[in-house]
Amino acid sequence: MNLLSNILDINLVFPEIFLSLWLLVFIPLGVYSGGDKETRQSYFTIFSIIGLLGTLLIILMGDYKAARGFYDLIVNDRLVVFLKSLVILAGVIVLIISEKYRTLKKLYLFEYPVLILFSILGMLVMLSSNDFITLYLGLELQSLSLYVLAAIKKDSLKSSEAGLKYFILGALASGFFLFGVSLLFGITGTTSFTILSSNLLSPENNSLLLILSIVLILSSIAFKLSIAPFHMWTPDVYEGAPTSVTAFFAVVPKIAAIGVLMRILYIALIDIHDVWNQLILILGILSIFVGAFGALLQINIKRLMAYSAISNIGYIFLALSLGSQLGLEASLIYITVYTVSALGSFAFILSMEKDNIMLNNISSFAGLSKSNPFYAICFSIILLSLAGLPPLAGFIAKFYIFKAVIMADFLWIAVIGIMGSVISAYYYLNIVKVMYLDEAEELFTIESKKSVKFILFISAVLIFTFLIYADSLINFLSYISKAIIL
Amino acid sequence: MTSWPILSLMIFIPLFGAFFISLIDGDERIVIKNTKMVAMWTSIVVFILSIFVWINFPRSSGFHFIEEVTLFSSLGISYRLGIDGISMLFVALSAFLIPICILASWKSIKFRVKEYMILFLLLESLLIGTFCALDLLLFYIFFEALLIPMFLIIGIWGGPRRVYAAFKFFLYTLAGSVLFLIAIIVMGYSSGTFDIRELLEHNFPYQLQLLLWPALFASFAVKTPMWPFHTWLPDAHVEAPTAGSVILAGVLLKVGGYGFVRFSIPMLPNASDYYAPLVFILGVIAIIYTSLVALMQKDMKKLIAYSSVAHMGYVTIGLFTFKQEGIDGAIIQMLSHGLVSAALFLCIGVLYERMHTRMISDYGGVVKNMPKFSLVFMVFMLASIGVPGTSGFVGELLVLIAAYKVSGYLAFATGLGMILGAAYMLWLYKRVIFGVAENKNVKNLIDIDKREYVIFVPIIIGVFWLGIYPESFSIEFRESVVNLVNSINNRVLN
Repeated sequence: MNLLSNILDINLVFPEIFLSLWLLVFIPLGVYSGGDKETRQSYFTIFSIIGLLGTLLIILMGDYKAARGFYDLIVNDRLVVFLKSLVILAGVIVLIISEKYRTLKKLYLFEYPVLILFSILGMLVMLSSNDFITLYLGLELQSLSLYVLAAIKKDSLKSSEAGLKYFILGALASGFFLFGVSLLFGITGTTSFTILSSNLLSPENNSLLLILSIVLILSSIAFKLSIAPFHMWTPDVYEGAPTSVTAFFAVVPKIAAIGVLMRILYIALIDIHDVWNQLILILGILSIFVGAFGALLQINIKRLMAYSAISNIGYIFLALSLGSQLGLEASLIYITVYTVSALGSFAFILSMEKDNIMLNNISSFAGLSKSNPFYAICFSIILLSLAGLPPLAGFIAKFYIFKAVIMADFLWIAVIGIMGSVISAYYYLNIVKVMYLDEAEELFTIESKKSVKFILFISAVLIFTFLIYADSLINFLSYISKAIIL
Repeated sequence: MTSWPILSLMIFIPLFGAFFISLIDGDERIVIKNTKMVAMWTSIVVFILSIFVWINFPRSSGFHFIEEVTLFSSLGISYRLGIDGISMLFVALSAFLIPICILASWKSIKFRVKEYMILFLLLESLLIGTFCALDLLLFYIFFEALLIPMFLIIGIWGGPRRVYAAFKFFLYTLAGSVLFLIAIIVMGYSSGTFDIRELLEHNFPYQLQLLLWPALFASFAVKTPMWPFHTWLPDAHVEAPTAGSVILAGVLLKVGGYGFVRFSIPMLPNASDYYAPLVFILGVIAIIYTSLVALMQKDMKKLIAYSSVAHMGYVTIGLFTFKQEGIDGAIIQMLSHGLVSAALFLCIGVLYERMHTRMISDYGGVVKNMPKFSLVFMVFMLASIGVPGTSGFVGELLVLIAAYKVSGYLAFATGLGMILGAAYMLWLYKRVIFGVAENKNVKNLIDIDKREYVIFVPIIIGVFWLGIYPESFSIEFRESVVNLVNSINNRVLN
């Protein structure tokens, strides 16, 4: 009986199984295939994109109904399907936009796409986990792949430093996570989200030990999300890692970790909302300001994007801290908009190369509006949206977050949070200023692949015309967020 | 009344024109010529539409020319447009000044003409949208989006410190208006609607009003600007190109006053009553202090910028008297200032184009070579002082009457500002126009040409029309103001 039900559960993990099998084919293929490096690289990219799209297809063809399997280790519902699709699509786009950069930097290693696929596999496991043990497996698979990816440019000192730094701090965070989970297991006798949510935890057993375990678990997730004060690694890793890997870091793992956090907070720990809400709120506010002030003086666009990510995730924390349906909805909208903006930004950053040298300094974009108006205008739209100016997408996303915060009667939090957005508007605007107001030393033309240009264009258009389709998107996301019914 | 979506047309025609300009391509000289022509004609079409609206405007209270399309069912936000007598005049003012701005930049803008014209048309569209919006959030979207073209206009075509000025302008205004956003969310969700018409009827609880009012005030006081939030204005004016200054002083500052009369006062009447003394104090300080500061300026543009702060002081005082005369006067003062300060900046622009300096000390004796210009300048100078027969007089007089009804001291302080205003303007005129021409460049000045006539004559007509027969303007908004005053009195007394 049990065995039978387990076999039937297998369709819940079809996507993961498919991706694993694909990877098993991929590795020997990578080892034994010949040919020159550049052709091999483009074949491998196409191969991995097909694998990802196949996984996406399986996810979308599967069941959207809420279901749990394997003794409640695995869960599937609309939210999982949506976030998984977002992760995979973002992964595919990152692979496309980093193609040229990899040729440029001679990152021909076939392990590169393999590691990206492995980390995505880890994220899929994370997203569908309904138990701290499954979650840990996914988290580690994801993190280990990312450590290696950060250090993949073997001959670069900065890349190796980034990898090592990320690894040591990440290992520490994993340790925290395990320690927190074991404490939680000690208190309640279970690691399953479902059982935890069924009245095992209540404000009455609000002991110091429980708080400690929750702080440990949340801080390790906060580390993965680079939330202040666990953000120290982010700027260095973003700067040191190859830009294509930074693009991946800035988007894809964030989606997965936010999804996991939603599930932990809103399913497993929802009964002790009083214990964690202030914690998340403070982390959120802190990140908004660390992100805003930290970025002010940055001259490197990659470091700036790191701080930008910190403050953007801070807004999501603000919404998540509310523990309400509205907060969940708002954070889902925000992460979607953030994904589009971040992908667009990195499509821009990865295109900025002159004479085979990447332009990472913000000042090197001077006069871009004259030499390359297309790039300048697309990136400006994205930046102004990140700054939260209406009528762009970022404005509606922030509006939604603040609406949720205000409706939960946290008026002052909203005022503080929105002040943070004014500060961060300065540095986004500063880039626009460099592109539009500063004179270039010499004019140069940017040439990048059509596909990259297309992605930049699409993300700018999506952001610019957000008002037109926002209604249906928000309704859709609100439907998705109802997968977790509070 | 027509069934045409005329307000939408006025918003979208400039956008269409801007799009059309972006398509113009080919030889550099022809591109510039065509760009200017397209921009000019687009703005003239919008101006004609605004006249059409004015002629067809029913002089009753409430909103007309209403358009409504649901934008976000989930958030309760719609694309709602409509105008009443007050906003109609501001729409007309914007539509009137934009062609003048474009004409004024005909020769002075020498590079990136295409982008410049696109931004001006964008600005026009957003300005008209701001005044027409009947949805609180839609208003905010237009209001905030205005920053982007203005930032670029100051930043790209401005003077030597343009980047600093553009950033200061942007961040000051943004910091003010995000608090407004918070207030919008609170207002929208505590009353259940973003429709301005319904919000005007809605009674917010007293405690909530006291909280909301400062948030709105932060935004509008920066925009107006009121002392002590005005420090961005002199920088922005000094650095902006002439047309940028014109549109900034002419219309953009009015958005703040419009915000007070449309949102702060009718939606939060009790709080407005509670905070009125604060506004009076800030208004009086603005009038006296900035007039004194204006006296000492060496840069003509800066002087006019400070005088703008002083003149907007009358506006805020007039609005917060809650008297029929006061609000009438404030609106007329806003219109008058929109014309006069715009014209003064244009005058400075005329001098600057010839001499490339704005320092008062570089001039003197201009009258000998530019008699016609001196006459034009004198008309606007006198209008700015508020000489009877010009537009400045009507507004200031009405505000003074209303201020006297509130308190004699307030009227005294306001009147003192008028004397100071006369002092700095007359002194400016004396130093620039009369005296001995010491600077040899002044001797080579050429008087204004046809293009400049075309710029100035409509404004002169406007100034005298508003000064001699203000009823033709005030009749349009009379009903709206009567309604406003009555509803405040009812609600504050209860």
